[in-house]
Amino acid sequence: MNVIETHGLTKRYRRKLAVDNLDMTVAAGDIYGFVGKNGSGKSTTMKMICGLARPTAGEVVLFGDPEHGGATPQGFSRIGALIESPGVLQSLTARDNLVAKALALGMTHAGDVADDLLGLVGLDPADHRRVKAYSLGMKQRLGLALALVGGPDLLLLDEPFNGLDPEATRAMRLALVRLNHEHGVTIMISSHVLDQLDRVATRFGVIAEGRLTAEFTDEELHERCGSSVRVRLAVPERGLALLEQTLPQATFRADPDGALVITGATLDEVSAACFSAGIEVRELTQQERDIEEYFVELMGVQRGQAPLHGEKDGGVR
Amino acid sequence: MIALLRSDAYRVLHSRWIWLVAAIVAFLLLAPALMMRWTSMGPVCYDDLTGSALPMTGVQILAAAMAAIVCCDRTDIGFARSILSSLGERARMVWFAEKCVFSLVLDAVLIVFTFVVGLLGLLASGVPVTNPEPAWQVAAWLGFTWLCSAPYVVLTVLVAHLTRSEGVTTVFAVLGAGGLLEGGLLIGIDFLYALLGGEFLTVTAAVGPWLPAEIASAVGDGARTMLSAENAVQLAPAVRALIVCLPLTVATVAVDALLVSRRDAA
Repeated sequence: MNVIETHGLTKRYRRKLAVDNLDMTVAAGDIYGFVGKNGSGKSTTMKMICGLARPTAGEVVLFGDPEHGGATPQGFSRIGALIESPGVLQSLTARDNLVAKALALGMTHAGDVADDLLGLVGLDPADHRRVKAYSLGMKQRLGLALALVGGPDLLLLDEPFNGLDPEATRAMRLALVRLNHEHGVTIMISSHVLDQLDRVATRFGVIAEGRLTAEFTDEELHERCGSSVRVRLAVPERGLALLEQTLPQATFRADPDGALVITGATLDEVSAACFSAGIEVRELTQQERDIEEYFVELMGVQRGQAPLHGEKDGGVR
Repeated sequence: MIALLRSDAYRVLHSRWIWLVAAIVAFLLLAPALMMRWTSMGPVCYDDLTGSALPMTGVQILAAAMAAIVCCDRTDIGFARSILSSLGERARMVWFAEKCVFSLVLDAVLIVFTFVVGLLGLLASGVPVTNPEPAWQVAAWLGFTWLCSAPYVVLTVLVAHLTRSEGVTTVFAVLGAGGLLEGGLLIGIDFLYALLGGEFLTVTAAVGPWLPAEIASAVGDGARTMLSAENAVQLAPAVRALIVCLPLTVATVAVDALLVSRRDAA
């Protein structure tokens, strides 16, 4: 079942088109990494999904229900969100923040709920300091705990790793994985911290200038970012046809400069294939692709340009 | 609505500012009373209980300022995003209405608190009241004091939700509840009227008694004045409060809940 489906989702702020005809799906159980540059439309998309912003056009279908996803059996919303900065009451303690939200959702035993959630995110329920004395990392963890009040089935987290030190980042990452594995919570995370996202996400969506430019699984990501061979041929079209016959297991992608990037075949195999087919080779190199570099490449797709090969609209193969 | 009210009550009672406000109000009411007792300075007696012995001056400004604190960015909007994202469409409308209702409840609590502390101060001062009103008149006076401050409170909430600016909301709360905005507006209209050949202050003379600030001022003069029709418009301030303040309050709450709730919350 798809937990999130957007159809032609569009948001325009006066002259600026923040999100442009976005179609995306997040399946139940996914940890969906939502990647894009600053101002690419990530936060706006998430705000529209959780109902904080109204779409200019298009619709959001949550849990298969166009009426904003209905409610849990206890009557609470099925969505928890941490959008932009953690929305915390600075003059209260962390526990008071959680109790206030639990009371707002009509929960009984609000104090117990608060204590449980503080334990889950690694904050001390007995800490009587006001939240304004907290570090950014502690506020982020409190923001996560607030998003979890009511036991949501879908968690929307906008830049949850921002401002976290390595230890806190790890704790946050483990908490998210545990929520996903043990409680079946579907999670959508937007983040610039790509190496952290890479460690938790099971699917990725890349947004550039308000448009989804690519969607793929973590397996597909690692396949694309693994070792590849770059070959520049004297006659690329003929060479590609011959190599496709000789190396049927390989995947081919054309770089903008006309070189072919081949994954699924070694340098020796490509070299031998070219030699046996009599293809004139101008350049032959082994290359390792960095995940960050790959995302930067995807995020750089400009409006009006064709998506990169192998991405949203299909590839060479 | 009840759940949201409980939540707001919890967060306000666990905040420091509410206790600071209570301490300041208590100090401002009790300190002069004790000074009167110890120095034997001040009035020999009060004519009546409401208005002269227990003035409510400044309560509506304070109530509006409290509404600004409750609804403004630093204290609420970020947290509100967390709650609003967990509420359905209809519940969001209720959330906006609840902010108005909660601010009005807070206003009522402030008025009762001010009255009770004022009463304690009166006892402490030892100054007698020669002609105290019956209890029903005192209760009605408290009710109408609340009704007169209600438009300013809900308008402050509306401004907070529209502007999401703590500065603008606080300035509006103080100027609006102080009657300066409506007074200034009326003078401006009068000025234009005079430019067009009319007599200056004609509009103020006609409309002035119907302004919430004027009604609040008349109610503040005491229960007997509030219920008396012996004035320029031959209508008791209490009746004018029902005609002006009640619909204005209801309309403002409706605008906040039905229209402002449809705007993007973030």
